[in-house]
Amino acid sequence: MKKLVVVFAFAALLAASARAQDQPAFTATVDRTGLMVGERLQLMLSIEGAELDYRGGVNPPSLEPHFRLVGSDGPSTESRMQIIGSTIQKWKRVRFSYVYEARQAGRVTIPSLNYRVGGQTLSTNPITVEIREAPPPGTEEGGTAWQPPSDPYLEIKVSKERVYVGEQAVASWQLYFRQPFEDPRLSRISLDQDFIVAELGSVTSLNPVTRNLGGVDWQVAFIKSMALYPIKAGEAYIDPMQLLVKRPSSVRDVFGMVRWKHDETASRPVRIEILPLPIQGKPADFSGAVGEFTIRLDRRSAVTKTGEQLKFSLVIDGTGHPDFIPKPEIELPDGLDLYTEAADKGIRQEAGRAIGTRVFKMILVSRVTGDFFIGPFSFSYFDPADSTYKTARSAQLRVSVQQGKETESASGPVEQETLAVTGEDLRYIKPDREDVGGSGKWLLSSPLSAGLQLAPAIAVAAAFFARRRRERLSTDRAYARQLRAGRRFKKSLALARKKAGSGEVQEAYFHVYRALVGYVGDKCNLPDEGMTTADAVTALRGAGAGEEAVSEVESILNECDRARFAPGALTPEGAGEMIERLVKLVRDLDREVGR
Amino acid sequence: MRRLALIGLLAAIMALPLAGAGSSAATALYNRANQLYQDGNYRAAAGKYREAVAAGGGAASLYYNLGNAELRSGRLGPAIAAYLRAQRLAPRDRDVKFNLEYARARIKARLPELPRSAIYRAFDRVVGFLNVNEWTLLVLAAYWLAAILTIVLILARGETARRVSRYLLYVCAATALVSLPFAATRVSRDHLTPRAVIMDEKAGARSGPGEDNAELFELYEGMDVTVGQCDSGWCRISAPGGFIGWVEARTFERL
Repeated sequence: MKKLVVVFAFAALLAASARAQDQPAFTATVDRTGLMVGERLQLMLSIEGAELDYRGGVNPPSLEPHFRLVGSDGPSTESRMQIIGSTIQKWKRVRFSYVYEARQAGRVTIPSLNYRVGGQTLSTNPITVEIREAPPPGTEEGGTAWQPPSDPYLEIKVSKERVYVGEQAVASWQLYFRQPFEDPRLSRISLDQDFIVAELGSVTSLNPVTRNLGGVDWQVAFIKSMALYPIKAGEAYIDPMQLLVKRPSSVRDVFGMVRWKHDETASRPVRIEILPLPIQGKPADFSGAVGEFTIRLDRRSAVTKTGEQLKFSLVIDGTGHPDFIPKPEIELPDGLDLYTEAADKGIRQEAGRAIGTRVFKMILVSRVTGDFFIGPFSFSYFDPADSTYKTARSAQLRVSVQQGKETESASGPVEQETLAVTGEDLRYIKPDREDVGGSGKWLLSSPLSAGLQLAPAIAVAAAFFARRRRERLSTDRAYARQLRAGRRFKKSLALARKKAGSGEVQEAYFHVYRALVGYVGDKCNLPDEGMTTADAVTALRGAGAGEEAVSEVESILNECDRARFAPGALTPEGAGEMIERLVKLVRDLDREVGR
Repeated sequence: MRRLALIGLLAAIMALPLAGAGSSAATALYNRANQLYQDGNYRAAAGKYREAVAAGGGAASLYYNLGNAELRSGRLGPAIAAYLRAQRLAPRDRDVKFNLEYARARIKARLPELPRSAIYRAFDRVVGFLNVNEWTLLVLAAYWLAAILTIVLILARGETARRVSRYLLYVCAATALVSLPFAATRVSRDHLTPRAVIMDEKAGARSGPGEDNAELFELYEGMDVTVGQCDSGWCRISAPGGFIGWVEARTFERL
C-alpha cells in the first residue's frame, strides 16, 4: 500500500513538473546591473515552453544613447523530447544574446519586451542598469587628474596580479588617443609558456568613446581581453604589447602630397605572482580545478524502461579552465549501467570574466525495475577566494524504471511509434531465406573476371579488322575474287561429286571443268567465261604457279574437253579419280599462287 | 540466330560470377539459428550463425542476424564486427545502419574524431551508397556498353546509327570514368585496407610493440581500427581521430 502511495506521489510530482514546463515564458537577464563607460553588458533573452512554435520577431531593444549594440548571437534552439507513459512531451527553448557597449554614464532601464505566441502575449520584466564614469588608470574611482602620458597610449589592466596556479586572471588592453591615425598594427605577445590562454574578446575595428581626463577629451577604445590561467608557481610576466600607427606630418613631398610619420606605443610589462596550491586539505579526487564552480543536472527526474537508454547531461561550470574539470565518478545501484556519450567543453565570457563549462552527456541503461536515485555527482576544486578546497555536489537524479520488452516482436502501430521516437532497441533479425550463400566475394577476384575485362577490348579490335576487310572487299575486286575463289570452287566440286555418285559421269567432268576454270579465273582475276586451256596456263604461270601444277591444270582441262566430246569411255571411277586430282591440284595452287 | 546465341553466351559469362554457390547447409543453419533467436537462446543462435558462415554463408542478412545475436548475448565487439561485415555487403540496409549505431552507442568511450570537410563527407556518402560488387558492376557495365557502342560506331553504315552510338558512347565513357574513383575507393576500403574491431573490454595502445613501451591511449570493445604492420604479436593500429599506437594482435578481430 505504501509503495502504491509513493508511486502515485511520484507520478503527481512528474505531472506537476510537466505542467509547469508546459507554460510558455519569455525572460530577459543581464550579466550585471552596474558597469562603467567603455565596458560591455550582455543581455540574454529566452523564450521557452512546451510545443513552442517560434516564428521569429524577437528584436534587441535600442538603448541609445547610453548603450550601443556591438554584437549579437542567436537564435539558438534547444529542444527535448520525453516519453512519459504513452505521452510524448516536446519542450523547446529559443535563446538570443546581445552585447552592448556602455558609452555614457547614467541610469538606464531596459524596457519590458513583448512576444506574442499561441494567442497570448509574453512579457519580460524591465531591468535597470547603472553606468558610471570609468576612473582613469592610477587614480581613485571618479578622479580626473590622470592623463595618458602619451598620445597614443596603450593601457593594460589585470584583474589580479597575485593568483594561485590555475586561477583565472583577466588582462585587458585599452587604447587612449587624441589625434586620429591610420593603419594601426598591434604586435602579438606570447604567453603560452606560463599560462593557458583563452581570448575573451577583441576588435577588428576601433569603436572609441570620448572621456574627459584632466580637463582634456580623450578617445578610449577597447582592444582585447584575455583570461590567463597560470600553469606553474613562481612569477610570470605579461610582455608589453606594441602598437604602431601612421599619422600625417606637416611635411609635404615634391608632389605636394602629405608625408606620413609612424608613432609607436607599448603597454607596460606586468608581473604576476603565482602561488602554489596548498598541500594541506587537498582531496584525493582533486584534478587541478581552481575557481568557483557549480555542478548541475539538466533534469531532476525521469521515467524509463529496462533495456532502454535514458539520456541526461551533467553540466559543470565555473571560473576555472574546463580542461581541469574531470568527469565525476559515482557509485551506481546494482543493475544500472552509466555510459558517457560525449564530453563537450567551452569557454564563454560573462561579466568580464571567462566561464569554463564541461557538459557530460550520459546514457543510463537499467536492467532492473524500480525507483533509483542517481548521484549526487561531485567534484573537488580549490576556491581561491578563501584559499580552501571545496567539493561541489549536484542534485540527485530520480529514475523510475518500468519493465521493458524482453525481446523484439512484430509490433503494431503503437509499438512502432514508440521505437521510432526513442530509437532505443535493436531492430529485428532478418527472416528465413532460401539461400544465404556467399555473396561477399569481390567480382573481380574470380579468374573469369580477366575475360570480362579483356573481351570488350578484343571485340573492338576485331571490329576494326572487320571494317578494314569490308572496305577492301568493296574497293579491291581482285582481292574480293581471290577470297571468293575457295567458296565457288567448293560449290562446283560438290556438284561434281554428286553427279559422279549418281552415275552422270559426263556431267561430273563438266563440273570439274567449271570448278577449275572458275578457280583460276578468281585467283588470277580473269573472266572465266570463254577461258581456254592456254589462257589458264598463261595466267597461272604469270601468277607464279609451279610447272608441275601448271601441267596438271593443262592435263585436267584437256581430259575434261575429251570427256565432253567422247563420253563413251567415261566411268564413274575415272570421274572420282579426276575429282581427287582436282582437289590435290587446288591445294597445291593455293600454296603456290599468292593471295 | 547465331547473333542471339552470342548474346546469350555473353550474358551467361557476365552472370557466372554473380551466381553464388548456394549452400544449402549454410541456409539450413541460418534458418535454425533464426529459430533459436526467436526462442531467446541468443548465444546458441550466434553459434549457429557462425557455423553458417563457416559453411559458406556470406549474405548480409546472415551477418546482420549474427550481430543481433551477439549483441543480445552481451558481446559488443563481435556484434559490431558482424554489423560492419553486413554493412559492407548491404550498405543501404537501414536496419544494419540502425543496429550498428545502436551497438556503437554502447562503446564505453569514444575517441574524438577530426572534423571532415563537406566535400569529403559527400564523397564518403557516394562511396558508401553501393557495395564493392555494385560499384564493380557499374564500371564493368559502362565499360561493356562503351565497347559495344564503339563496335557499332565502327561497323554501322547508317549516319543516324553512328551519331546515336557516338552520343551514347560519350555517356557510357563518362559514367565509367566518374564511377572509377568511387569504385577504386570502395575496393581499397573493403579489400585493401585491413580493418579490425577491438574484442577485449579494454586494450591499451602503446608507443611500440611490447609491454615496456608507454601507454598512449585506451581502446574499448567495439571500436573499429585500421591495422598496419605487425611484429611479435603486436600490431600498429590507427583509430579514428588520427590516434596511432600498438596493441596486442589477440585483442582485435580482423574484418
